[in-house]
Amino acid sequence: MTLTDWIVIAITLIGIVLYGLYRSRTTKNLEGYFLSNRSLPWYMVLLSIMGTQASAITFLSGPGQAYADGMRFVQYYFGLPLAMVVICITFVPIFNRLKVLTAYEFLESRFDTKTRFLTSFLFLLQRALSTGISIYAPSIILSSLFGWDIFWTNIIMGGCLVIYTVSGGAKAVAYTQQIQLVIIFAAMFLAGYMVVHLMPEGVSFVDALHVGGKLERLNVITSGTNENGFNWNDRYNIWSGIIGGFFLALSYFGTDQSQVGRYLTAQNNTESRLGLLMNGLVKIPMQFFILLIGVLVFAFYQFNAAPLSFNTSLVDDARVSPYRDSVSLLQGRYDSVNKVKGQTAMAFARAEKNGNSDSVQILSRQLRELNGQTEGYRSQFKAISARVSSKDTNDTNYVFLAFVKQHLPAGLKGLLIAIIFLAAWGSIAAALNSLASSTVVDFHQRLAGEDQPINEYHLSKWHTLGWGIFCILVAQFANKLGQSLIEAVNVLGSLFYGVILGIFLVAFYVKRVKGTATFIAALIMELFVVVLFFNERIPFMKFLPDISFLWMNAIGAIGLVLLALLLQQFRGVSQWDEKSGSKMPSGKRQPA
Amino acid sequence: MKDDKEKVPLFRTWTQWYGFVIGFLVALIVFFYLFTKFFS
Repeated sequence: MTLTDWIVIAITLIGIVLYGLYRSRTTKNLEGYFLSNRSLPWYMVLLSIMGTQASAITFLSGPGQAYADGMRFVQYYFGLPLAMVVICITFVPIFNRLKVLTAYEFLESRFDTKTRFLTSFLFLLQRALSTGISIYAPSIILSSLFGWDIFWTNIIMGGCLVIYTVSGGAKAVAYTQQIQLVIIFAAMFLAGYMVVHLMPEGVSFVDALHVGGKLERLNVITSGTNENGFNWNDRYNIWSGIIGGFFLALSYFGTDQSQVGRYLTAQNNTESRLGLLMNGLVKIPMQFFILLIGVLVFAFYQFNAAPLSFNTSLVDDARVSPYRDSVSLLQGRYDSVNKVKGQTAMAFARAEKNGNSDSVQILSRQLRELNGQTEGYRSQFKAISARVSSKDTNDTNYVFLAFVKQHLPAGLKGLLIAIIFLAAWGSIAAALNSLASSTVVDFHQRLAGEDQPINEYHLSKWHTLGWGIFCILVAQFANKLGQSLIEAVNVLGSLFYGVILGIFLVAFYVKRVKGTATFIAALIMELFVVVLFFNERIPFMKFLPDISFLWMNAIGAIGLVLLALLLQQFRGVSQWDEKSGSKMPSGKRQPA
Repeated sequence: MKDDKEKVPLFRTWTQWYGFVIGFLVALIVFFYLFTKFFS
């Protein structure tokens, strides 16, 4: 890191904080703090929706995911545009007509208090855990750059974030996200350009794509089938993307307060709808572009030697351990193979350019074999690392960061590190805002009765601070996840989102099902989804099939609707609703 | 929130907007399929 990098980082981050504080002046009531007085135009809603979804994890793990597994991850977003359409048709008009502050307010008027509390609780649980991971993601950057202990790095990173978020509110969140996204897109475009620019002389963008394609990194569309038929445990394919991704996106954008809170800030239905539909148009191309950068980085490392581990601190640890001789030997062999690999990749690029198909076939096979060898050495190194270090040996999250650190010029390096902070701040700020709004509106206000608006405003700030501290605590344990962070967040969401979505689907579309049947069905289905996902770790549940996490969204949602329909048939269940009633007690805040 | 008169921007109805978004998704999938085939 040079002085120029530090200056770029400092100016960018301080500038955003000051801009956020400048924009934080809003009406001192709940609607002002949480929904920016419902005053924003569609493009602000769009940028806020995108800024909330695209966290630092997106920019850190996305390219790493493509490096390790190819571009098929983009299929995960195929259900998103369909979900946007359904949300515009059903969710937006109802939320806006009722003028709710949180999505869960609607559930009380439709069902009862217990269903509202349960849904809000499930949201708070999964969102707080996900936000903790989102704090950890940028923290590993600091940890890797300065060799700081991740514990203190999380506290410093999360501490700065909480100060900024508490001072802000929804308006500050939306306006800073607007600036953040402009800087992020500009910097990522520059990064993409630089990867191509840094390729050896004579290797063009298309040549790099051919290298990535022959090594199965441009697998954008996959069918999920193998010799045994459809593989339900395959994580990303067109079917899990469209169906599972649809349910996940429907739940995330339709029922997760961190997103619902973004489009409730719109001036009217039209602005909410436009923001959501434009998100449906731009999200997949944006994710494609981020993953493409990962493929280009992969191609770059065909011509240039990649480190034994992209988490360079692991290599440093191993070199001073009792296994240092084994590591030196491994490094020597690895370097030799990389040298041959670089020459083969150059020969491949030349053959591809000259249209020599026989040579292309032979060289691409050789390149695949050499990649197999280098991956073998990297696996051996991981095994050594696991013995000498307590750090996670999976280096997927470090791929893009290591490339930026080692190969990009001064200034741009600082800008790319700054954008990772900006992306983190954008999504975490919205998450803390939504956690606080749900706690204040769905629990505090509901249980304690109406408070003075000015007190609720200050109370909301305290709740934002409290959730910030909780999320920092969660971040301290995120390094135990041992997998790509982008997957960890999605897996976590999938365990809860299906059930939450199922509750809303019953509320919107199955009028004859009441609160108690929905509540019991939600409890049973949530337990079932968790057991199904962890079946291999539960001795007497091993008979359950292995199903990839994206399907959990569909299973949870559809299962809940069917179970609630079944339970509603039982006389005892329907009688419970008649006895308890489902209306809010007087004196509490009623949706308009 | 202001009263919403539902004047649809760019298209005549929201249904046309929804059709456009879904059509764009289909076009993207076709493009990705061809992209995968071409470079594999």
